[in-house]
Amino acid sequence: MNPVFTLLVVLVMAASLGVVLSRSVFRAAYFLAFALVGTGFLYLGMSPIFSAVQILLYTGGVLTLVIFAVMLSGKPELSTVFHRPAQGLIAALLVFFALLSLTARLPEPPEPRTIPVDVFAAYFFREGALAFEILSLLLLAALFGALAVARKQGGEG
Amino acid sequence: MSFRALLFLSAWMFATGIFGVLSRRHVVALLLSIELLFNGVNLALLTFAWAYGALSAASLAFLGIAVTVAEVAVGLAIFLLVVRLTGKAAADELKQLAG
Amino acid sequence: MQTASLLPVWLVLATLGLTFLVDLSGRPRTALRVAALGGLVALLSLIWTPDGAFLGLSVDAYVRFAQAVLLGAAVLALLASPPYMRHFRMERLAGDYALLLLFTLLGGMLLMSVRDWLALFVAFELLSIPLYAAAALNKRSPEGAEGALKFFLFGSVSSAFLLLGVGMMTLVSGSTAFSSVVVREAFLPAGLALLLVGFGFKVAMFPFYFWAPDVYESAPTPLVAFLSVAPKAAGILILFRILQEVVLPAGLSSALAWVAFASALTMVVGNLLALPQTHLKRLLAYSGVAHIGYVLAALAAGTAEGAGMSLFYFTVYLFSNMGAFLGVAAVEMMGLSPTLEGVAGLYRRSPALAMSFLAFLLSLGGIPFVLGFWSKLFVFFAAAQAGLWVLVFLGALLAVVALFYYLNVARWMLIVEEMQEEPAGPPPAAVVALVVMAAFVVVVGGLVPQVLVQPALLAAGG
Repeated sequence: MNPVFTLLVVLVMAASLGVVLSRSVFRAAYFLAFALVGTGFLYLGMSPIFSAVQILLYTGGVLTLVIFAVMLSGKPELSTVFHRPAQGLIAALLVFFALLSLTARLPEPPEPRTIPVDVFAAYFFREGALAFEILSLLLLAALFGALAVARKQGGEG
Repeated sequence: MSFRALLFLSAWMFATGIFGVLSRRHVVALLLSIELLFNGVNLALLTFAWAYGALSAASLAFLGIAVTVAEVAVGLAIFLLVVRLTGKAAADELKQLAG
Repeated sequence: MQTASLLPVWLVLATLGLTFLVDLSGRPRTALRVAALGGLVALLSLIWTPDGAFLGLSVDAYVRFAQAVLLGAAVLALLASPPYMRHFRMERLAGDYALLLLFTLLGGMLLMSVRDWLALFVAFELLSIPLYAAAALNKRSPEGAEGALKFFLFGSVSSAFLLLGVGMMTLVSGSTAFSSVVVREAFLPAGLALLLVGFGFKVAMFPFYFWAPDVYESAPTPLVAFLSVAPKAAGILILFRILQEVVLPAGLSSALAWVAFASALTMVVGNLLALPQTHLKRLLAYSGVAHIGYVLAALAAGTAEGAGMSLFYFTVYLFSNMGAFLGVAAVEMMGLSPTLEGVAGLYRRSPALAMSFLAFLLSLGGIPFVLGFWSKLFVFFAAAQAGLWVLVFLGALLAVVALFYYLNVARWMLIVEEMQEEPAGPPPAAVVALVVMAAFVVVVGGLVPQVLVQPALLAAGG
């Protein structure tokens, strides 16, 4: 196995742990950024366009929002980090092994190939056209929703 | 690049996300854990697309990214409202969330 | 004229635009009325909507029936909202509220008619995300914001499961279309299980029901009325489609056993948890869980009759459950607390409201010969035809348990002396009119159930 690939996988695994274990949410957000960008690099070998979307749009967009929210709320950390961690650990392990047993049963793929952008685009705008239209409505709705929630109400206490 | 290693990573991310969602107290940390969940799912979808040539899974990953961003925007707006009204950011201190 | 099959969708979209313009011009309450009127027009337009497929959305009688239920729920909620928002001084946000409700409605209507997995996922999200925001709109209530946050967190986690499940289903089929499914090893059962988790949250099925009572208790009541019917109907009815067109043809008949198991647990848990409740919204939330258990029994039958019966079930549920929630809204607007003590002696204060409430409670409890009796009977009839005798027996037993808490509410309203000394205001006429109308449907419909049952069965092709 390619050592760069192995290193990247290990780093992303560590960063995911960092997200859920670090005390400060700021630090957790940086770990998440690391995990997302790392995943983005992994996408390079599968579909370069996804790599760009992941790093530029997703990581950038989501993290800007999160860091804004933490700064506006002014509460980056709490005295205790966890609430009933044992239960969470058991559930996480169960899910982990369920997913692993599922992947173990998958057939070996024929021969993985990078997804060409033009092929993907042609497919997406043919088969996914309707989903894309509904997505535009969804983004509009989310914009309205976020604005409505953030707006001040008259005479609010 | 290995098919199994990528799926292992995806399962790992999903499981850590589950742990975070169930165990973290800070609401923003919960949101970050949800991001981790979605990222794990997207990685799995893209790996399937790459390995089996299933463009449908890649399309779904694409849509998934956009949907997540929409969700985070609404979620953070609600979080800020909660902080404004109650001054609390811990999920288990909120009366409604305790049960 | 293939586009004509999407007439109601176009009308709701147009209403959305119009509502936005009216809201922008600074008349939020007019916006709410425009939205209600538009919904009503779209509901009527269903009568002339033909079958057809356009843009990958296909419409048949089943879809139209489901869309009618969703539109009915939205119209009732929108009609009841103006007085509620005036009373709780949320008027400035009435326009936003109307828009978010219309977006959700659109998501539900599209969800009913999609035929591919990609659009299914996005439509489901369009149904969910605006509701999180709408639940947070009462900004004077910290509980409301907390409830919305809880709703959002559970909803988002369930979306992640749904995304994974849908992804597996697309792989099972090798393409995105529903119909081209070839079983591929592990993914069909795993994908279906994940779909059940994703939809299970939305319909408040066991064990994913626990968010419902908190959210119901704290969100604006007309919204809760909508929330307690429309997303549940959409979730169950699309599950029916997936089961009938994808899972069963692919040979995974054990799926029906899972659904039957979920049905039994949901019935038991919903009914038992409803018993000790004293807050009406929480009680109705748990009773809603129980009702999902009953509908799942029809789903577990996996037959066209089962589909028709659940269409009928949701139509009845639309009137009895929304009626009950709107009754709660009226109680709140009288300045009374929506608890058992709060509604004590309600008959003395407002006989019309109390008697309508009695009709809803009898219907929810399945007393002969109100509408709810027939819907419960037919659902279990469908289950019995499929040989699910255990479910039928359990359901009958639990229906008796349910009578305790439904009739207990009626006892407090009709017999117990009032406890709150402070004079309550008069109930708002507009809401009482809606409630009485719904009660009229419940009672008169109980005398002629075939008017609704026949079209529902025809729509499901049974």
